[in-house]
Amino acid sequence: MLLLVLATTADAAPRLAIGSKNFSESRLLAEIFAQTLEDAGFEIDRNFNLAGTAVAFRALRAGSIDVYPEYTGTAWVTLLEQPTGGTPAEVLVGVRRVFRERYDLEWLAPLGFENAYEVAVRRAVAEERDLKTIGDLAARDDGLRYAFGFEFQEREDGLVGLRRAYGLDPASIATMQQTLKYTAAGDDAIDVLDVYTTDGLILLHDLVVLDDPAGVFPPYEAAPLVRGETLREHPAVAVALAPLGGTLDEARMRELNKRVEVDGESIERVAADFLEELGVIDAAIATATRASSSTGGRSRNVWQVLRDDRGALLERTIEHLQLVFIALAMSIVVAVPLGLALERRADRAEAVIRGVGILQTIPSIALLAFMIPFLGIGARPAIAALFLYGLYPIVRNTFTGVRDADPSAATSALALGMNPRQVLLQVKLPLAVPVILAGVRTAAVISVGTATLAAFIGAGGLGEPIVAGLQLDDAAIILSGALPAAVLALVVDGLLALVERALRPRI
Amino acid sequence: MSALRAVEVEVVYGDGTRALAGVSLAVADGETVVLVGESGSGKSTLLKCFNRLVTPTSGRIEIDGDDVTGADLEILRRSIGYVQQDGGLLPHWSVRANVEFVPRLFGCPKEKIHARSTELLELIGLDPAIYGDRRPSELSGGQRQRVAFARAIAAKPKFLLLDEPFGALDPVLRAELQDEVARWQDDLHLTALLVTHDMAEAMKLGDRIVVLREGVVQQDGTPNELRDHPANDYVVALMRAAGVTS
Repeated sequence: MLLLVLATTADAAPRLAIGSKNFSESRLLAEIFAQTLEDAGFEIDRNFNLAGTAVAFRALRAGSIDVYPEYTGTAWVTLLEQPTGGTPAEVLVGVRRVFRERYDLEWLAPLGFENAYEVAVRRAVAEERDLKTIGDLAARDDGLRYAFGFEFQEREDGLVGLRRAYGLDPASIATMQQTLKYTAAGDDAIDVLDVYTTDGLILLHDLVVLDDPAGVFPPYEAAPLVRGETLREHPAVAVALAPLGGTLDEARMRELNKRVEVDGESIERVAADFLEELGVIDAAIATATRASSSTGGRSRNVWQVLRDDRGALLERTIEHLQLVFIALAMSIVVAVPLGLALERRADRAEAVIRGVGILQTIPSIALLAFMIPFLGIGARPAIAALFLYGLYPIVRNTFTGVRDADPSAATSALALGMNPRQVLLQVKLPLAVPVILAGVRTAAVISVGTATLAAFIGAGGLGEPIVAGLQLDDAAIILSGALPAAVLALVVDGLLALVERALRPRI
Repeated sequence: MSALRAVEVEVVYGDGTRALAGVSLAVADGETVVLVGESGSGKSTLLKCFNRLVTPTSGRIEIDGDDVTGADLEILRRSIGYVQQDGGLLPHWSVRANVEFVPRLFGCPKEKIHARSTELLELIGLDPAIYGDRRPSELSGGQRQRVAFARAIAAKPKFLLLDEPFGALDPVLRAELQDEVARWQDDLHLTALLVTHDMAEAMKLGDRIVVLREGVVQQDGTPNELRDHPANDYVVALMRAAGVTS
């Protein structure tokens, strides 16, 4: 038996983990890498939808993923904090040198298209106000409604640079997810938004891209960013990915993006088509991939999505439950004894409980990102975050539950000779069970909701379809994750109500 | 030697309130002494000094001649019966388990404990077969208070501390239970300290009565002494309010 296990381990294909950021171009490029490497004989773990540059980069450095598509300009400005400007070649040489020396990370050949941030306005607005450059916009933006992505607002090659170069100073900005911005512009709900050069949606929503004469937006070449360690261990990775260099020009990339974002085709299918056309993978394999991927298409309603994807959704639901239950069990194991210990130190209890409460105020994505250097990506940091969020309601309810449990019974038990520990464990704790379990139920329901965010760091769960649906602006796909999550919250709450009934002391 | 003794006991609470201002008191073996006073007089505080639910700021508390501060706290408390106004029964334990509370803490053998609780339930007039497994919430107020008494005397203590044990009962039930408790005390030869605000109850149950007001003893004497020679107008007023004297 042991030999068999050893033999299978030795024979198994080498495993690689591929990451992507949480927008469709990044996922599509990552899928192209994944299929290419699968064709070269690797076993691939897909950790797509990582929440932005910082998360993906940390995951790569921590070794949780081996490769992800990154843009040279992003690396130059955001990760290395270099000034904007310079030609694409200069930027590539710069990031290659620094990444190799500082991080032992390698940039493989750029894919051949430049993708950059740009600022776009609705055509009607551009014509009415005669806007051609970002400078024009800065001069005549009274009453215009802005919507920018969060990362864009914080970046030197984003709003920060535009403010300095053009004096662009929007009175107020709505922070929105990429595809939702396009929809909002299409519905005449916003006027100005940040876009990517290669976005297929620019075409669809009739937007005008403004010129950037000051060169705030650096050239962004997309390329596979790989761990040096991975390349040394598996030189075949570089060999397999090399043919992709220079194969995607801007027009082609925009076309592929449009198939995903506008036509609603699956990234597996679009990637397979592209690779087959390129001759990188075999026609038979491409056909098989297309067959196994979901049919895609905009026309499906939520019930059709639930039916077609039920296998995957069931798997997501199980992942989701695992995250919630492991985290909840850990929270209970820590928070209940903590709440009991605080009963003896009522003077410090409020301070400690408030301290635990502060954890609650840390935004989930930030907390998840902080933990990547220690816990990597995937289930572990997600469980750690859910564990921390679960502490507060349980410790709060445990403490108030035992503190307020029938004071008269507690006094008489003490007066008749129980020691304080016996009073706590035999009198107050059993009487506090309903209150403590109410805290556990609160934590569980919050946890089911928060666990949807785990998809941003590759932990799976019902957040996957929600994130994917947001990128595709496809309500049916969003609901195919959100509905089961809501049902799950009700079911978990109901089950815990039964547990409460069983544990509640008979009074 | 007095069984229970307080010497110049002063209690000042954390907020500066002075509950007892140097109170002395002695209860002889087998005697029942009643502490009478209005709320805030310090009578309950003094009672709680004896089982160390309250620690005196100064002064001394002795039981059978020994200073209580030297005693093992849990052992001390298990050897003193205690009944409070609302009974203080454990709501999640059966009536029988409540009665068995102290013997269990002492770790007595199970059969012995069971026999004892059966005996006590019969003593207080509750059929063990019917009431033994009920929860306190399934009993009437009078029944609950009887169970509290049974619990207090289950481990055969020498001393009973009774903190307004009849306070929550209606008058008819109160009189009935007072008679029964007086009988049990005599039968079991208990030394008791009883706290009440009801002078009539004090006259009925006390071998001696100690009147407290704002932490100071007003009078300490037998019911007859109080009736015939009240020490001051306050004692007179208390007696009159209770209808003891006209």
